[in-house]
Amino acid sequence: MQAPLTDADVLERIHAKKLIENVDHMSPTYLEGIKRILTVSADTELISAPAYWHAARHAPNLNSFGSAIAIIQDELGHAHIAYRLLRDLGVDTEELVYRRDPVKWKYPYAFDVPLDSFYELIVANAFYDRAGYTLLGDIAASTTFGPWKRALVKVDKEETFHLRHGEQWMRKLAPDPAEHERLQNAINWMFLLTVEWFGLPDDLKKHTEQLNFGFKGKSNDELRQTWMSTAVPLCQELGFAVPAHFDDAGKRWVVDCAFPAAFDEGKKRWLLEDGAISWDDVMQRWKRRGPKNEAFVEHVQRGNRQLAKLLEVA
Amino acid sequence: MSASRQSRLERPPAAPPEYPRGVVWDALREVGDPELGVSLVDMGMIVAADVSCEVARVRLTYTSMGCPAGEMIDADIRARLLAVPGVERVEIEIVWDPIWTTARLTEDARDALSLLGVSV
Repeated sequence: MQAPLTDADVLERIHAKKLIENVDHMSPTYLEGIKRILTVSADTELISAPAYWHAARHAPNLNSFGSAIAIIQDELGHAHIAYRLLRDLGVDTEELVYRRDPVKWKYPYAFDVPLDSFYELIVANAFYDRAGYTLLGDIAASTTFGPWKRALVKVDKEETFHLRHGEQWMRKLAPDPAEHERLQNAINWMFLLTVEWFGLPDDLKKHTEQLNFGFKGKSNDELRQTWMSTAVPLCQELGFAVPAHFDDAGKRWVVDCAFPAAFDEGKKRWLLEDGAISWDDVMQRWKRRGPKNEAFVEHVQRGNRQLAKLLEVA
Repeated sequence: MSASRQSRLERPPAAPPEYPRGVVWDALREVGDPELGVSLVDMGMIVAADVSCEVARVRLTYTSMGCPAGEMIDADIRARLLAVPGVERVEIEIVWDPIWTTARLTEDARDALSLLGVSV
């Protein structure tokens, strides 16, 4: 699919406060950029389904299992929206979803680390879905791509439900010392993974078109601040320790430990005693992918292959 | 009889609190469905609601059995009604008659849902 305009044409339209509605309104740079960010969003939503399912099986009762399954269903719906938009932009989504090498998927590394308990699912709802809400809320408010902006109205509401689900359970369990400790253990490895979620710091970021063309409104560091501004107070209110605080002098949330840091994904433990590592090191970990990458992508792709076999026989 | 016991007996009984007309319904209009944000009243999920003698009573139905947001809705209703002056307790009864259908949606709910891309 060809994008016929120049970057200058696109910027002129954006500066005139007009939304980009289809490929005819795009330049090749805009088209490639919006496909890149949509792929990250779609992959993130889709892979959250097997990741959450892995933990939902540990739900303590039928009601909480039902809530977890409803969240998974929502995520699949959100993924469908983003892949549908990609298809409208000429992307072969069958190839993208069902035949892509797992290591080439574009979701945050955090989802590659398995959620092995209901406690970890709760914290994922409170942390990861909050990250999704932060990112998508910004896109809904600011994106110049009209179809995505409109589609996100419902997604935004549903992500609120997900993060409230996590918060509600954290509030319910926190007063019990034993439950508090179990949640704290989950927070210990999941907090920094979510701080990482927002990507490279602004001064290292390569794809400047995301802000130049207004795919989103806030930079990675600004979004990280937004997330910390609610995630850290939630933890503090419930008596959970997190390595972050608000710096009054700098008027920003700061991480109190070595960051970024090396992560022992087998033990789910940050190697903070080794000191900070470079973002290049983090990028290598992200690109290598984590322990459940292959299994979760396989979970998504297996059904499609099985259906194809059935159709061949028929 | 002690002086204090006598004093209690002589005190006239406290008048039951009076509540503005529709106070519970008005409060419930501020409670949204957790997944859609549309008020529970406009969603047609509130079958009956009233308040007397410090107790707010709500008859509530869900849009489906096994509603995944049930616990959240319950908590939200309690939190909002306990903020109504003169309400000390909230009783919620889940009912399945009348059964919920889209016919229970108000026009406001239909408009809000259509903006969310939900066809009704």
